[in-house]
Amino acid sequence: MNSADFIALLPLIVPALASVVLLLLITFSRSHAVSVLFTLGSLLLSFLLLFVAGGGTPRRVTPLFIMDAYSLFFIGLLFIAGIVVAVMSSRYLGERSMERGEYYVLLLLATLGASVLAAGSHFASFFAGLEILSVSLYTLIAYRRNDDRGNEAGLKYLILAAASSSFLLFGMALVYAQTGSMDFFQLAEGGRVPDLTVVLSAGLLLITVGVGFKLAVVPFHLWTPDVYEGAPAPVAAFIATSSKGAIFALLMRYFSLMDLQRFPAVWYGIAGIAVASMLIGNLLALRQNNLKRILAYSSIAHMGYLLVAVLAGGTVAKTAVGYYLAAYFATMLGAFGVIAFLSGEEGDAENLEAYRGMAWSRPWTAGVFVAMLLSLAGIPLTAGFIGKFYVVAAGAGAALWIPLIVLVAGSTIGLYYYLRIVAVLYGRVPEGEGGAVTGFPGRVLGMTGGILLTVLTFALLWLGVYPAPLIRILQATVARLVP
Amino acid sequence: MLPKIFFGYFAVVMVVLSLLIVTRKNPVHSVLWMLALFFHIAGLYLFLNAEFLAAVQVILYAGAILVLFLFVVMMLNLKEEVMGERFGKEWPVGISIGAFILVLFFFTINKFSQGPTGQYTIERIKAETHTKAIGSVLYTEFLLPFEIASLILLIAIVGAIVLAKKTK
Amino acid sequence: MNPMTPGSYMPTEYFPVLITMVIASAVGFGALFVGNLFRLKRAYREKLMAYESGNPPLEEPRYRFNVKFYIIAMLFVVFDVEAVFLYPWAIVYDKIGLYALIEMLLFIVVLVVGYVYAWKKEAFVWD
Repeated sequence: MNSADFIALLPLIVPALASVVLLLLITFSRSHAVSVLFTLGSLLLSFLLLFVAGGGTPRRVTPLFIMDAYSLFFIGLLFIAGIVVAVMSSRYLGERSMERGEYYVLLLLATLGASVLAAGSHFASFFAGLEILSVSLYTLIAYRRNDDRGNEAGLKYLILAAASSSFLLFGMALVYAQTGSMDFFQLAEGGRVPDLTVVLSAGLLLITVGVGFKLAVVPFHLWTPDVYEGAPAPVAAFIATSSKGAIFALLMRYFSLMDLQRFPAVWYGIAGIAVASMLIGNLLALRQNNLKRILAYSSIAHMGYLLVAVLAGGTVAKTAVGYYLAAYFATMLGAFGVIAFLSGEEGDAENLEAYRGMAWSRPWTAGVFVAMLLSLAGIPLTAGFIGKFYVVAAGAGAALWIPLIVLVAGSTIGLYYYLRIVAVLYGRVPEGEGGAVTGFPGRVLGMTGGILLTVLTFALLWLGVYPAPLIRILQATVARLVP
Repeated sequence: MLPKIFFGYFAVVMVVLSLLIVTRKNPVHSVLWMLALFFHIAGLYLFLNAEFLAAVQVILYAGAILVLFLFVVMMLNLKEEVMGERFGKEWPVGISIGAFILVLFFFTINKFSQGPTGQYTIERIKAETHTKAIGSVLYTEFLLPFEIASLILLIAIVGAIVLAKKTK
Repeated sequence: MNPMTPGSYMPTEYFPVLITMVIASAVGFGALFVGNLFRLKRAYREKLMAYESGNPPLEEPRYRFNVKFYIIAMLFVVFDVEAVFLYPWAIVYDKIGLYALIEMLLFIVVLVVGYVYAWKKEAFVWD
């Protein structure tokens, strides 16, 4: 490694160093404010360093990392998500009596793991990134350690993530046995990847299982609602966004270098997963009354939509994936943000009935929430609409009619449960004695919450109304994905 | 011929030991069978030119991870554990998934044709010795995953203390 | 033959290890077997009791361990893994030199921070 490599890697080195320094810091001073400010500062510094690192041409730092526009874009997205989650957590943890400093250490490391994935170009960095990400998540999910559901969620995630990692590793071994390389870019060289042999397809199948678990797509989705329910709301936001987005970024790179279109068997497998995720995710969300579980199923469906773009392949589809993920990040973070800021010490604000009539007493909070829900549903003028529009355009370009029909059907089903939440928000408050206290009368968003959610809402509308700048960035980004 | 006999011994005994691990009612017995399994895995690694892995298997798995297993098992209520049913109602599902994977592996291994070899062939590892080959890659080309490993270990320390340490 | 085929390679230099293991287990099992041949088998209740230096046993041997053991075991595993990384490092140290030293120092410093943290959190204090 020379100094140019070092500079290119700075956006990854800074959060790693920061997490170690922060651990040392909390060993000696347990000030919550210091931890929060330190975390935010280091993430912000890493984000700014992306512009320093992004100055030159794409750079491979050892065979493991590629710092090109594509990875820098996704790392930037992940850092922003990290900052948003840290802000959400500051309030969430501040109100609870639990260990606080360690949370930020783990959050920094989880963000680092996600960034390693986004910049990874080798099976070794894939696995290393995945492990930092999931090992920190084991603890973060069970962070409310006196809560039974929290413990259950942590244990479930631990066992299933470990099992899926073993599938992933075995798949990597089989692919390596057949191709003789763990380097993604060597796979792209001519003649490296043979036609689909049994070993290669078994390897790809096992990798799909491992990745499918992390993305929570059907049929590997069973853990999702329980984990979202048991995890603290900010952690659930992190799982829904960073953890999935990072793996998606890596998957896109891998599949485009591998030239997925060459392998019909794998392609049809992914098509099946996409169709199943869109249908089942949306259908299962219909009967839920817990907001976190609804968002969990909604995220399953969204991963299905994204896979349609992966199936399509080509530049348009990659732009669509980038845009969709940016929109999805803003929306999911906003939706979980509302829940996190409304959550009190007695438990997370996840019961749908508690939101009844909130729009009349607290129009702004409800308005923000409605904006997020409409974006998830893909209503025009929101970011979600443009994202879905691009995915559909990419799918239509590749003539993927069956997945597209399912996508439209799924979105229609989705509309029902998103609008159901909106209806509850604008519903009539039950009157008289015995009526449950609803609408979170005592809870205020506070300054941080107000600013954060306002910013996210503006981002959502801006992306939904004026998508051109982001599209331009993305087009420049994906243009050189395959050398 | 002799290596084949050894290989056959390790393979058969590993399967038997794995079955013993999952079928014992007393979790402590399972852990002890697992110890035997780990030694056999180490032996198999030796026959596959992976001396370093064999040593790591003994030091880490038989030495450290098994201790962790045993402590966790001791945290269970063993008296109840021994009395209860060994398998849950869902065991046929588990068996069918296992059978599916077995069939998958069987076909995979049968159809195996070696692709282009990587940089580190068996001959090269033999010439260089396994530990040295690993070291010369791990501390040059793969130094970043190596440093990442230290962070993963750090997370393990923090996680264990956050989740299990009594707060004052 | 393809060197990848299982059973095509004999790690002859590990033959002494095999001999040691065979002799060690032979002594262990042999002692049990010989003792079983010669000893008197007259069991009674007190004799079958668990041996606690002559005192009657206070409680059953199967009781639940304290969760504190888990933290100790976990820390042991972590530092054991750290030690394993040192073996290949020591072998290639003369080839890579200063560069390797810096890498390993970085690796160990990170874990020392973890160690300091565990110490300050009183993870090594029993009560």
